Amino acid sequence: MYEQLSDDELFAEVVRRRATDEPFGGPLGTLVQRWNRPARYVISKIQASYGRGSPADADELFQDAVGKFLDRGLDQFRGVSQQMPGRSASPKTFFLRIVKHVAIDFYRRHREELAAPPSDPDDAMEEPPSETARAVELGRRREERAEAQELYWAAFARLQQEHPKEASAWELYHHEDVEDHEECARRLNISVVNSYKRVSRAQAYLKLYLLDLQRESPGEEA
Amino acid sequence: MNTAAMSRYTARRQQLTAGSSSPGVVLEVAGDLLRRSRQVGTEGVEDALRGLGRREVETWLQAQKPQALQPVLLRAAEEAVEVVLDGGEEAEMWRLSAMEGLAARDRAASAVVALVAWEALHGPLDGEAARNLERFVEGLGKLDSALRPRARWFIPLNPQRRQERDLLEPAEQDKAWWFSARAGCDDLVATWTGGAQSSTPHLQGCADCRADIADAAPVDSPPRRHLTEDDLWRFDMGLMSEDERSRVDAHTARCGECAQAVLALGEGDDAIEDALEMEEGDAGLSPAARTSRAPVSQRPLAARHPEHREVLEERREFRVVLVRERQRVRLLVQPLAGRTVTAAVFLSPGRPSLKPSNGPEGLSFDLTTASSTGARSAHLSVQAGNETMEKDFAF
Ligand SMILES: [Zn+2]
Ligand SMILES: [Zn+2]
Repeated sequence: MYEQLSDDELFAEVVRRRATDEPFGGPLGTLVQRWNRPARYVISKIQASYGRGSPADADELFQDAVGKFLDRGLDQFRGVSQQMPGRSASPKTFFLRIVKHVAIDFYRRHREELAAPPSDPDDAMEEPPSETARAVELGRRREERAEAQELYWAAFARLQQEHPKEASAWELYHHEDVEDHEECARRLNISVVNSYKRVSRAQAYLKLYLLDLQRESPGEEA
Repeated sequence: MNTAAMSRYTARRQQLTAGSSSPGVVLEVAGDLLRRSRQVGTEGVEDALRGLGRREVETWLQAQKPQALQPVLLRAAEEAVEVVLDGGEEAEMWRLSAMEGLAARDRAASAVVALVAWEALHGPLDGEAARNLERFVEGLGKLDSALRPRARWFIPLNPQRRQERDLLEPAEQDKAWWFSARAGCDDLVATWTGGAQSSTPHLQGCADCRADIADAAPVDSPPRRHLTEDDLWRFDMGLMSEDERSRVDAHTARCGECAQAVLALGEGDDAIEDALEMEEGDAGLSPAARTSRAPVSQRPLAARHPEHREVLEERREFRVVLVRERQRVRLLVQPLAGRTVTAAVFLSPGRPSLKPSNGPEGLSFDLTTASSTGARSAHLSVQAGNETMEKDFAF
């Protein structure tokens, strides 16, 4: 029954029904079914870009993208098309953009685990203990790194709470890669001397907070 | 030696004999002197403790809240660090205030010692009073186990802390961590704000300092904030401010992971464009019928990486442009004057032409893969109307 409607008409129907709490599965299903093929093409290109991925991923990503399109996309699409006419003028292009982002986010998140060195089956046969030990070691180090990162960000959160000015200078200088006191001073609207001072104060407090957190955290004794 | 600190304690002795002193003050002063007996003597202590009645001691104990010392010590820690971080005229004020915080903890220790001496003279406390004493001692123990690991905060007060430590009886010194823990670690302070640290014999030899330096190392090379999903979205949609965009550039210049994501955004755009064209092709639409598409120059991709375009050839009927954008390189054959143009690109003689994609700007040959596999030149053949062109080009 929806086949004769254009994308724009179907889309308008989804938006209308959603706003009035009517079921919109029918028109939405037709719409995304039409976009299935281009969406899979886009997914395949992102997969190629990351050098990984499977058809199973593609199914999952497509579903995710439909969800995102519903959750945020409908409102954002209107916002974007008003702000920047032409950029994502059609709902289809907008949907494909969401597909693209969903796929990129997915492969970014899975980058590290997938990037683990592929185990050669022959090696594994010959030297199972070392392979296992290596995997365990890798996992342990990854965990430690994650924990260290977590503590660092906890220390930074404390700095933000207790010394917000120092924290914003540090954030800009280090986390946001500015690494230049003149630029830092310009952005924060403070003197260059002050920028030096704030970053150096931040450094001292961060170290002290981090050490406090490390000594508190259980497992440190191990 | 230590004259200033010493005279402070000898001056306190007067409070023992002044009849107006509260039981708490008597206990604290008595304990202060007992814990420093060899340096300042215990004259008057026993008389004062004998004069302290059981009821007075019990009432005082009931009112004690050792956990109230926690915020006092935490503030003192912060003030102690300000002594070195502030460094200005305020430094002396921070130092005095921080030392006062440590002295508060020390007085509680003195009270405990005095209570033990009091019990030896008057017989042990019992019932609720005994339990209150136990709670008081326990509370101080808890406080210490929470704060002793943070003794490094007090290092900036070390000259004063060492004076105080040295006045204490040897058996008391180690217990009084607020004066004695990390009291020799002065060199560590320079590592808090310093970049490249010149190591000192102390820093090399002290296990605590070595551990601190190693464990604080993440602050010396802080992690960068990676681009979030939302960052990528706003970047892609052209919603970022100029400062935000320059942050993205600065970050991707150093972070391979995020650079890859930004590259993938561009590749995704090409894919979207291709996908739309394939669909339109299927629907039998001519390029002119495309109305919903923005011209390429308005696409955010074009805005975010300044492309480098090199015109290789310009004829009346068509133009040949080499487009570089980050790691990508493609050859565009643009029809002019509404002509239909056909073109082929051969990487090596006898091999089939690269497959072009037909975009709004004309025919596009992606040379990225060829370039990444080492190819540096190719042969181009173009036909437009009556005009034909054969050309070798480098990329
Ligand atoms: Zn040390
Ligand atoms: Zn990054």
